[in-house]
Amino acid sequence: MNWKPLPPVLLLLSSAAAADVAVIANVRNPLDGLTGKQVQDIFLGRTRSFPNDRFALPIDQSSPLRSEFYQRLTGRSLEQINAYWARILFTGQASPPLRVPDDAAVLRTIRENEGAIGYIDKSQADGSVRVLLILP
Amino acid sequence: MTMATRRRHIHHKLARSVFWGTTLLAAVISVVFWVGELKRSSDKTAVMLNQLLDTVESTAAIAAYSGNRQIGEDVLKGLLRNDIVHSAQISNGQGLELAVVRSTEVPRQDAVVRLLHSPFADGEVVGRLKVVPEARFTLQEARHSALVGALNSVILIAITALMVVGLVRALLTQPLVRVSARLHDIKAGDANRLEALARHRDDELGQLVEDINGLLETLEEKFTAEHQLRQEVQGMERQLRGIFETTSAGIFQLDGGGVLLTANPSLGRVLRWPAGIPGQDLENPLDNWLLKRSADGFFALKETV
Repeated sequence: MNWKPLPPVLLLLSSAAAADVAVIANVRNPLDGLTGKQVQDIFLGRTRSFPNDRFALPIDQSSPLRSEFYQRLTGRSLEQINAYWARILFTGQASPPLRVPDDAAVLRTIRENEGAIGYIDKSQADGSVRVLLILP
Repeated sequence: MTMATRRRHIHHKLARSVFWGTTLLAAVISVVFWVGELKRSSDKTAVMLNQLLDTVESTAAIAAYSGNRQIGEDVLKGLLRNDIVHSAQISNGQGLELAVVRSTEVPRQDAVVRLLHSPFADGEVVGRLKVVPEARFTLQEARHSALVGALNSVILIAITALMVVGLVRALLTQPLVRVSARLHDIKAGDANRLEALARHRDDELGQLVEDINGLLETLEEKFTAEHQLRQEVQGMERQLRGIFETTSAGIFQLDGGGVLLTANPSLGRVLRWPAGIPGQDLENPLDNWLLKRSADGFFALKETV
């Protein structure tokens, strides 16, 4: 049997799909960690604060990691998440999280805002942010 | 003097019976229909409410999950646009308490409650949607269905009854009236007979006409036989009377007390009765004789004989 090497693009996608997602917050945030449900409530607009009652600012991103994040967090597809926000957005009473382009932009925003919370590829997390949850 | 009784027709009696019978039946059917329809309509309303809740459940869940009043109000307003909803309420236990109610005074009905689950976490209850059905709608449905059912029954029964009355009139009453009229024209012992009814030769009316004709036949035969017998008796009576009156022997009849009841003229001649005594009066000898005889005369006559 002859094995053919996989195309580089497919290898890259496979690698991205397998990566863990880290939910991060500002390093000055006193929380040690959050549960999946707490993160879900923050990112889906159910609550605007952390469990310690501090204001929470969720930071979303436009990269392919977004789909992975919501899939692991809620078990729902990105289309379902968008439909959910479309209904809420229409009422004018709430809006989806601020969206930035990629992990680097998320890291920058988190560092600059004490109440910010976002998600990045686990491999991108460093000591400048506090990891609150790992979504395997 | 007898008063003429008003004749009543069978089909009129039948029509009255059918009318009251159908009226009672229609009333009973209406009540049964109404009770059944009320139950059916109530069940139907519950099914429709559940279908309605199925439709709005996901949106209501989003409202409860996110605490979004606007979405919740939209859901409740949409629910209240349906005639089967009397009131609707949504709550999430975290400050969202919305309710709408229709301004109708209706008896309370059991509410349908739907637990709202999180759109994102399976099994997590995030709120409750409660809907009370509109009793007026249920009643209207039941009343309408019962009325339609009763009307259908009445119309069907009335048509059937009219057909029965018409058929009875055509097939029974009128032929019977014709038979009766013809029977009135026939005298006892007459040779006339009833004519066979067209279209009724093979049924009970044809059998009745045949039986009546048989009876008339028997009656005529009896009359004829009786007439002949009477003539024979009269002939024999005349013959015996002739013998009684013309025989040379004296014939008489006494009752148990010895009273002379009758005697023929020859007895008078034998006993030499004067002229004018009974027995010589050939027109009515017995009456004349009995009127003129006394008991003393009888005993004198007895001793003489």
